[in-house]
Amino acid sequence: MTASTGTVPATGAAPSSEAGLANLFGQGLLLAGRNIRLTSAADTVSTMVVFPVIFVFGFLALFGNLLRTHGVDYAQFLPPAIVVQWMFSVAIGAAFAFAADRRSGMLARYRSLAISRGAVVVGRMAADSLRALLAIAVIVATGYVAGFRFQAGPLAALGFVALAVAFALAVSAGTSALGLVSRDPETVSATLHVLYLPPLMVSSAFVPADAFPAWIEPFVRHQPVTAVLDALRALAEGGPTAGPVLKAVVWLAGLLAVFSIAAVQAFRRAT
Amino acid sequence: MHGGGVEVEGLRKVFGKKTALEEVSFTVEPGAVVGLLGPNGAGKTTAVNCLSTLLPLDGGRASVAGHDVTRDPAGVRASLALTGQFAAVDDVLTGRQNLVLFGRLLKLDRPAAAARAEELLTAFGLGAAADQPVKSYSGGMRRRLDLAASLVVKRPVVVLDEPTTGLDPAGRQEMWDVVAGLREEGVTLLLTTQYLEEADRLADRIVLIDHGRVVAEGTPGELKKRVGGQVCEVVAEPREQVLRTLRERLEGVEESGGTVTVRGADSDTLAEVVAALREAGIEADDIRLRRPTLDEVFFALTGHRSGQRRGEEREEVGS
Repeated sequence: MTASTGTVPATGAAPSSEAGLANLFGQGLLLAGRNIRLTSAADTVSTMVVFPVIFVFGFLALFGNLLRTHGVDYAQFLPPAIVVQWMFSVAIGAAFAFAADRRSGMLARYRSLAISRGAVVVGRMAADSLRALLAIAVIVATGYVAGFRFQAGPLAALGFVALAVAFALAVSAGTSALGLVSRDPETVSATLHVLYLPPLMVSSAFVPADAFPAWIEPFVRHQPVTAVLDALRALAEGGPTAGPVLKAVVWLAGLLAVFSIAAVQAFRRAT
Repeated sequence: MHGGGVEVEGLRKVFGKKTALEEVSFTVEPGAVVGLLGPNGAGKTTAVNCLSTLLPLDGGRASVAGHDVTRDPAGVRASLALTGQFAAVDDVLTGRQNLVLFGRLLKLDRPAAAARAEELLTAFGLGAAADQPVKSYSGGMRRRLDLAASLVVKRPVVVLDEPTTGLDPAGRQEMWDVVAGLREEGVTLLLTTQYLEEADRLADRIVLIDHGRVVAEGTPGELKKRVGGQVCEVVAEPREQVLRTLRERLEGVEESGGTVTVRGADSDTLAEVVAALREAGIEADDIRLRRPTLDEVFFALTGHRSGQRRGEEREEVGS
């Protein structure tokens, strides 16, 4: 076997060749494409299509009648909760992918290349956004079959989608920080699957906040998951939206700030 | 010194309370092949990670092709190709898809990336498997693809972190051929290894590191010379009696790998051994003088064996 590597027109390799938005997004998109090619189609169909459909109809069958007697239109109430649950799932997927890339050495390899420093993050975010959009589309379509409606016009519906994706990305920043300090995707994923349930359960996701015992109700009302759910429901149903949306955006901005610092620290140390 | 060399001076790296590297200095001249040799946990991978801008330095300085790793990390990355400790390629993609992706990331246009991938696949003996997913590759093939991925765009300095760890003898031989090819092309090479045989075979100069410090440096020949003299190897039974007999009259008698050896030997030693064994009535199967192996060099310089058996777990990179 000859080992000649031939010659290639040397890239000028100016020190500044990594910088710039063109590199960030060009290389970010290439890596997003790679991330998408790496996810198996079968897995995506089951976790992002089949499961959410089962959850929407399952919860409706279980609680729909019960909550109607309490004056809650559950077909309208439930889909935002399933959306939020699936945004957590997207975020856990991001942590899994980062931990897997760290274990396999891919992350170190990307960091050693003369490519934009943020390209790996942009690539991850773009791929996660696509997964989030797929889940939202599936859940909303299923919701429509069950009776869910966007009642506040197309702009509010777009706001609904944007807020859900923003929530997925903000949570992803936090989960990614954990994924980046680990080399064990299975453990990270298992841990996060336990961690996300309490904030989701102790929120207005599946029952209204006033259904909780009085001592915990104030927490339920003001914690970030409820804030996002309230905003999503306001955007879907109409009525006063500015207040809930602002509260959700402030929460997300705060979480994103804290999580990003942790994630960036972890990213810089990931070898 | 500029050009495609590597300079490391007083490099220090700490993880929490553990000092991974302390005052590590070495140079790789442009076009030279230097082997960073040491056992698991010696700090080889940490040094490589500092050089390739993956880890910040805690002291000292390092430069690659004249670019300081701290002040000009982008310049370093544009001059260095890293092939890390793990074969970092995507399993579900084909060999060709992996190489094209790296080409595209490094700004080759589509046709150029495809052409370069084809060229490398052929050169590294992966042409037949080019369009199969990497998960069907053997360990040796993965490793060659991994190296090819780091050579998609030519860099003056190539760093190979344990290129043959975990490979079977055939895979190792193929990898050595590939590295020898790079060397002929005049690429500056820094390779880490825990295999003395590998450093001896591939490197012009060896930097021996242990517990984060450089303990010796030189050509393989110089290092062997530093152990002093040659080694007298005695194959005879019963082993215990041979050891006892020789230890009564000589220094540096040891047992290793089924033979009895005498360090620091010369022709007088040989005569002494022959006489001693004859007096004790022991008939030797073989007595010979040879130059010390790097394993013996390591022992003489550090006080312990390099202690590596092939295929052992890989070096932990620190926290």
